[in-house]
Amino acid sequence: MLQEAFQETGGVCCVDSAFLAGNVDYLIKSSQDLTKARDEEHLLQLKQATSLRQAAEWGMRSIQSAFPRMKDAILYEEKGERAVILKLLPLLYNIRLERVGLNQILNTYAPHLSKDAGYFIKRND
Amino acid sequence: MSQRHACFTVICILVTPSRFTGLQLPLATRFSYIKFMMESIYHGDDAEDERKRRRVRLIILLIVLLSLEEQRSFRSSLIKEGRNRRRRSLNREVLLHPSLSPWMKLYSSGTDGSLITITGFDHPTFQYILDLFTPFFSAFTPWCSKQGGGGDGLQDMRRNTNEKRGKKRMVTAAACLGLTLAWYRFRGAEFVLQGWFGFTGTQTNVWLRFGRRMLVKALRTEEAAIVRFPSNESIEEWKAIIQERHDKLHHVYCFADGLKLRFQACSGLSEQGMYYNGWQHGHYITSQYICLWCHRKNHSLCRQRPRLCS
Repeated sequence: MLQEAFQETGGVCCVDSAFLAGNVDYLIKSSQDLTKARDEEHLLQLKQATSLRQAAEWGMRSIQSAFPRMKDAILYEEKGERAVILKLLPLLYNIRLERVGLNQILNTYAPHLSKDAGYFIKRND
Repeated sequence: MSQRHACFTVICILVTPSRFTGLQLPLATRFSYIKFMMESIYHGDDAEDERKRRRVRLIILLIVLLSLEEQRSFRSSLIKEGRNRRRRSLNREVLLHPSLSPWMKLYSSGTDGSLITITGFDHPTFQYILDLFTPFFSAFTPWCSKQGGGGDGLQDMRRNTNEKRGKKRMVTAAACLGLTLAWYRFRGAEFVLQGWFGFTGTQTNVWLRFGRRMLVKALRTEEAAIVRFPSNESIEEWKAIIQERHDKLHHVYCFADGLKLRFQACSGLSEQGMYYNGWQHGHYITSQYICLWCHRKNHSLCRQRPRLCS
């Protein structure tokens, strides 16, 4: 899917160095080793990629904080509740992020989108 | 091999616990085979044979006792009082009625912050999910036979609305949804949830299982919940937002990371060490999530890939 999106829009995804895919066009890998930088531009790009990767950590943290039960070990079973539990997890997560508004990525990168008309009315009072 | 040796061999196999031999014989059958073999070894009428037969009977008794010890679980060896003390659940008489439970107090108070703490959703969102959940809650029932139905066990759960017998449900759709959502937010023993919702242990498990399945049915086609890849227009928009903050990152529109969900492992370290390579210190499922966002959305694309490590 990421490759298709890259071919259609030229968009790339930022991942950490643990991802197995090698040097592919649709991924930017953040790296702690800045000596691998080819030039100044690349050095700045690596530093910013590492900074952007923090947002992915916020995303993972929000899953764990929204559903603390996931930290428990899931019991082994086949054709049982495990599939239902894991299927429900992203569905609830998406609704929570869209409607409850507890979304650190959104609040950091697009703070103006977190404010509604009430915020500006109260500020003017 | 003489007949005597053959009998001894058979006796040894029968005495060995079934988990080593794989011989699944009932205790009574095993007992009669052993007795028959012993009788065929020590046959005769003199005093020496009689003494041996008595010893045989003692050995058989010992074997029976050992077999019983092997088959009886610790729980079945307890008396009723001992079992009651180890139930780890609350009795009905110590619980509030579900309509007067702490959950109903919280739900009817209208406080958003407290509802987010318990369920993860505020009141408008909870109501929105409840509107999707209620038709499934009313149309299906958790009380069904395990024999019927299809693979996922949902086909035979449809409720017969013409049925007039039986009591009305004490559990409301809001309580069932609240229980399901609260279960994801709680870590710990189930009796805490029992106290919150006023359900007994069996009832809690039944409505929790039912609630999860109905919620999947309700949300799997819902636009706000569905997992899907964003449109090209959204990708262009997010590229611009990221570049505004990180000017050297051209065309980046999303970021991805993995999350490890812990999984049941062997209890014995030595046994686990025989099966797994020991490269990792956990036993988990690796899930990959890609975080994206748009105006009021943060889509998560998840791909769960079971991976067993030790």
